[in-house]
Amino acid sequence: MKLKTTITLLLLALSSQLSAVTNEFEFGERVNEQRYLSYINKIRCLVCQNESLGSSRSDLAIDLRSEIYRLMELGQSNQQINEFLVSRYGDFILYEPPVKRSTLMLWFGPFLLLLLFLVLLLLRIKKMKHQTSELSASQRQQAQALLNPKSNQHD
Amino acid sequence: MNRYLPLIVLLLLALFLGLGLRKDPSIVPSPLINQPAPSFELPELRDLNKTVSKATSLGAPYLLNVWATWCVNCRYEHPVLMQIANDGRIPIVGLNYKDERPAALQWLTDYGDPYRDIAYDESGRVSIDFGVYGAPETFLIDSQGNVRHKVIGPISVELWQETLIPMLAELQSE
Repeated sequence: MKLKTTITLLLLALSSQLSAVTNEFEFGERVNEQRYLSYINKIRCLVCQNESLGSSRSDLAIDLRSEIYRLMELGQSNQQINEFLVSRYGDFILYEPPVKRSTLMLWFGPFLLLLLFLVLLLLRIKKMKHQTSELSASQRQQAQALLNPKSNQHD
Repeated sequence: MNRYLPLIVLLLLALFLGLGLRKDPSIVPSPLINQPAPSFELPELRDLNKTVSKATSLGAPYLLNVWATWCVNCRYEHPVLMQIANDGRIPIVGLNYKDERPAALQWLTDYGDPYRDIAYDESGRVSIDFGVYGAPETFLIDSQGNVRHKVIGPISVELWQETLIPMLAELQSE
């Protein structure tokens, strides 16, 4: 019972955070609410870096949200708004930085590592297979002795 | 060799993570470095009938210092700005960021006024163009109006002497 209450409270706290910004502006034909909300949640708040622009209550986040709303009202695309933000604050403001030379490692590094370890693993497995098939005569005898203790007892 | 491979990987990882720890994540490099400073035109804080703009500041290098009275680190930085102003090597233009004018004027009376001009950015819109995300921030702008360096956080005496003075000497010899 207690657990249930805790979970409910946690969910409530979360949902109030998510809806902190929904009533800042009016949405309708000109600015689509879904588009606006999904966009501001993909932008980092530079004041409190672990929060998105959508969930931050900092002054700068409020200003940037109204700037983004204004640009959407003017009919700019997400790409154009990205350019507006990046030219001022740098790629760091985007949670999904563009693929370019300086971000290649960021995008593909993990896959490269995965590939490297897969290759190492395969090599290792191959090696192990080899080893098991090559028992020397004396090893074979030892194994036999361990497996059938009765037939080889000397007393 | 193979035996030590996990250890080598671990040490490499530790090295990179260690290097990462030494970097301050609150310092985000500005894309404006070596780019023309954004143009702006704002009222002068001390005399609202005057304006401060990018055009009026061209011709010689200057420091553009973003400050506000609600900013604790600006108070900490202020004596260094006074020292730079008294030194006279480079003028300081203030960009007063989302502040209340009476409080800002009182601050200048109480602690001294190191600024040649002060642009009053009440809404913070010009500061967005400069990519300001926390005061104090200071831009070194050359005589053609290009941003050459950005200091995020308060300028210390060491930073002034060891970084800004040599950069300024370089700008003046160009």
